[in-house]
Amino acid sequence: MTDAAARGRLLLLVPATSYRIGDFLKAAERLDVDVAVGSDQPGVLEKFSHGRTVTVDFKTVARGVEQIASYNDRYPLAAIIGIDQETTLLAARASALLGLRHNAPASVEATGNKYRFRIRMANSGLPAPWFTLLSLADDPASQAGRMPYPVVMKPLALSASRGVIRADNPQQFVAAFARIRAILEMTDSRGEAADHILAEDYIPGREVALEGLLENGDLRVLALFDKPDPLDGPYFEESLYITPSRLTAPLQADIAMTVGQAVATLGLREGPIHAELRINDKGIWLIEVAARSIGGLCSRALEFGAGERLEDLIIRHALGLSAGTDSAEHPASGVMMIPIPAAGALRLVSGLEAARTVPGIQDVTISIPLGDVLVPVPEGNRYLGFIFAVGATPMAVEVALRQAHGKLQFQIDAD
Amino acid sequence: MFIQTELTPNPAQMKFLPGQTVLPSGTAHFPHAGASERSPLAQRLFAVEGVTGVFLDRDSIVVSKSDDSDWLTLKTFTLAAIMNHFTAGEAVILDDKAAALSEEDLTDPDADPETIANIKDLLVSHVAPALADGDGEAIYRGFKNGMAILELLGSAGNLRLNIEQMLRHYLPEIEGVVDFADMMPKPGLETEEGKAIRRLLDEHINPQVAGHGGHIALVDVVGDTVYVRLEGGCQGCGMADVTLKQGVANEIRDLVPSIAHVLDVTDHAGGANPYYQQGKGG
Repeated sequence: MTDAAARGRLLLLVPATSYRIGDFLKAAERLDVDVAVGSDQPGVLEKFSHGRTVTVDFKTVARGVEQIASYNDRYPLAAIIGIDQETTLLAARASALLGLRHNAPASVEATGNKYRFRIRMANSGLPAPWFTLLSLADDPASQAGRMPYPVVMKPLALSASRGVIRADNPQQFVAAFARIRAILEMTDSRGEAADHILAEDYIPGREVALEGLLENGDLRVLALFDKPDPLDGPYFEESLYITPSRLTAPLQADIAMTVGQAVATLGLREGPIHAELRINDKGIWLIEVAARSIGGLCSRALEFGAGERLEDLIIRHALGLSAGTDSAEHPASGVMMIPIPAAGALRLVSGLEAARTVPGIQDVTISIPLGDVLVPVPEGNRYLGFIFAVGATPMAVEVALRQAHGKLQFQIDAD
Repeated sequence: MFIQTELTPNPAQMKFLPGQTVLPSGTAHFPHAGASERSPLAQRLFAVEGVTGVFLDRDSIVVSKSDDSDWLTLKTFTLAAIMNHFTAGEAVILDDKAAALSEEDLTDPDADPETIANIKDLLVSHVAPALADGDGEAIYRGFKNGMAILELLGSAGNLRLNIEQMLRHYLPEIEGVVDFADMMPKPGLETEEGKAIRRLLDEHINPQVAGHGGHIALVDVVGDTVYVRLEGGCQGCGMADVTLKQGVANEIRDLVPSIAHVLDVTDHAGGANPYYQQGKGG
């Protein structure tokens, strides 16, 4: 048993529908850490788990904190990690109560609400877009005349571009307003996020994502991803993430400094962060900062020395174990979140083997079962699949990902 | 004996050319150690730590490695295993009982000949073209209890559920596809440990898992490793890893302490009805 295991269990808070639990469990196994999974749904084998699964209320944070405290009485905890956006605040509050390494809950809360985030950043000295909060009770036609077009409209608390729509004129604004209202009605958004929309300036430019780890307020940049596909709207479906960035070294340093300043402003001091930024001739603009690591299966694009994964680094940090290496294993790597080509039932995926044999491709995985209905953004909340590649250069990785994607064919029945 | 090696486009795979015939005809794919019973060569390779898959064809042996191993070390041991196998004069593939099973043995006497003919036609018209860009093959072996029995070679092994769905789409009387490899004798299942693990799954685990429309099948027991396949609601479920690592593996290890590993051989991407569907959480 390691020192960490001797100190207590690691509790992973993860929704039952998360992509990420498998990778975290594998990392815990590699590190020989005693791990328990707290989820919003009971595990089917909870009675056989020897307390290594526990059901936790994610919707009512105060109740979830009580459940975790009660669990801690039986199985002392060494650390709590909120894996997805939905659980970061609960992890912070429970950790604060139990005296475990954590971020200030108010800081985490600000990262989970796009409007609160904009307010916190407004006086940071960093470039910030114009923004305003709209109530679903507002008359969109009357609000439409106030907007400095183009604008981007966003739900306050949904992830991965869900419900994010660009509007270039009042007609598009009214249509987007109705569409986002319908999306919010489909979700279990709560509080302010359930009945408000954020509207902000559309920021043109190249988009990047920074993956980092905070330790006592110090930011370690683990990866800076370029997003070479244009994200101009009207919807913002993610596709390519490639690292290392091809931006100049001074610009990369400025991006890291911007994120460092943002997390300091927010008051984040511990654990993983994922930041999205846009760069144009007016500066470096933060789109969002989240107190969690990258979503979906994208972390598999990152491999560090000695076979360590992003999840290993996060667990090591949470438990106060000696830091693993943050040197990338490959010269360049990347992932493509396979775009959903059309709405409808997925009938057949062909070309998988051909895609897997493209030089540089490490894996191609389809994450929506055949027969399921594909829902594109902005309404959709699932990835069609992921393609992973490594290479000698970022360009080689990008070429491999595009070639592999080109070999895939999807048969989708629109009806 | 001189064994050449070749890099492949997939960095997790390496091709070994022993300079002599490996398989006189066809190909054989062993996606995990549990499936390698009929190949002494594959079994020998799976004994090398870090080997996760073996593919054989006429002239070459393609070995897949785990994420956490590196070729620098693995290549040496793999070369030694291949060298030892061929110098010992052992068979590459055994003429086992399953291999000797004829189409007649694997077909219900009252099976509709038209259905069988249609299955064979669909394998030619729909499956073969889909496998044309890989190195796979799906061979008809029989039709029993509504299940089409197919030998899935190479890349076809990853497409079992796609093939099943296509066949069921055109031939509703087909209930599913059985991989011919699953009909191979598995001595590990007949040991005391194998029987105890099966009882645990049948009597304790699966009644619980059935509550989520799932089922956990015991594929094989080889040495200190148990191979399981998660089916139904467990296949592709967001909590599948939790079910396996935090539940099934614990129980199996408690029951049979000699078991060190419980490995999941499920094609989770093929899950048609996962209990918890994965979605964007972060």
